[in-house]
Amino acid sequence: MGSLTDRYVSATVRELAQDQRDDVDRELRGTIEDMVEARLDTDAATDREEAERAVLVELGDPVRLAAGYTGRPLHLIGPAVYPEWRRLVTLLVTVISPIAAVGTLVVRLFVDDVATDGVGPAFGSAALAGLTTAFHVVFWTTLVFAILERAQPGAGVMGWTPDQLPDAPSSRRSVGRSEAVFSVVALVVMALAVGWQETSSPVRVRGEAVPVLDPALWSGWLPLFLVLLAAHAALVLVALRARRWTWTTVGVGVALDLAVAALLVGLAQTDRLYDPAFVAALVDGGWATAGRDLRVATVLGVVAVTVWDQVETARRMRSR
Amino acid sequence: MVCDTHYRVGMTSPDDPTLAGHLQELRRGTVVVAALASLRTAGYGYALLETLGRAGFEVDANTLYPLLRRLEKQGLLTAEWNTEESRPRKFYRTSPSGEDVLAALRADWRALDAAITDLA
Repeated sequence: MGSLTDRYVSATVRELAQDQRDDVDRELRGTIEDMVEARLDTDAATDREEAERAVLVELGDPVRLAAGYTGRPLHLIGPAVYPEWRRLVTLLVTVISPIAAVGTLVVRLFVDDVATDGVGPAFGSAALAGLTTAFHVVFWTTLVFAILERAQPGAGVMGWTPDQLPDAPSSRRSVGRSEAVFSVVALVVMALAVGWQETSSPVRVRGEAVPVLDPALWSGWLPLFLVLLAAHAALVLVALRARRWTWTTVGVGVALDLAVAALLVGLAQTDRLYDPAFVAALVDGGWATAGRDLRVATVLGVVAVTVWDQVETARRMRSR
Repeated sequence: MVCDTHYRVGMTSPDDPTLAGHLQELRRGTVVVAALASLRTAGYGYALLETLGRAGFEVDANTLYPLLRRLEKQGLLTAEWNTEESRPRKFYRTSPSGEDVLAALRADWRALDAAITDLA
């Protein structure tokens, strides 16, 4: 028996259960021999070696042959779980990758000395972080689904119900993924900006960075502000999970909006929002009415953004 | 190619990939019927491959051999090693429950044929 047959048979039976191996080994050898002889008899091949090679080519990849014996799938992710795999990978990549990229960008801008390095490295590592995250998400999700595929062949994981249908684009109440991602990213950027202004404010007096917001606020109002931002981010994720805004989530959203607005307007009106040293630096720089202008701009800005938010929400809820 | 007359309908030819795909789908399950019918007289893997090939069932060797094992595992075939000849061979034979399944499959085959004849 030529060594090619030996190698072929052992490559095949290696994939089989222990108790099947000897039997399949014996039968497969006999079958190959039968096929070789048939080729020699019909003059399809002139010598034994050529015939043997042709027979093994006809039998094909031993992994495929063994899969025929075991019934093991010849695919990583089969039709039973593919739709769920695709939905999950798309969701995770579109949500997590941008968050990783933007988060990295903000942190790097915050940590790097932009004056000497420029912003290039920060954007570079942000792109890399987004890409790496996408690779990880795809890899691990695929691994889990491949294991599920083998653990329960032919069965879905979560099944599918019509409730999972994404809303048609015409419905404004539906929560789009990109919209939710944008909201969360905006909230994260805002929270990071609060930290950034404290340590790396663009305003410098004699080389020292002067915080924009009054550092005294850290003992009460700023933590509350950050908690409100976090609550808003959580709310957006809850709405995304439910796939649509309900009157409850909208109500909580309006309450959070108003709380943030009240906080900022109240602090601005009583001149407690901005660091006096920061305002003084602006005044020294030639902006005589900086204190009043900042107060008015802040109040108008907060009111405008809050009103706009509520108008958007009302439009969303009216047209269903 | 087998059963050439079947292809000479309209513009379709055996080389037409669309027709080839549909034919393959249609014939997929018939190998089991043919194997169960043929193995009422005991036979071994390669002999059955040749018999089926002559009868017009184009089945690949790497499909048929695992199929015989699966049918054996399902109890539709019984298997026995024959060591009397120069080369030991595993002989398969249709079991009583294999006969039952064969009868049911053939009845279904005839019912399908009748139903399609009624439609045409």
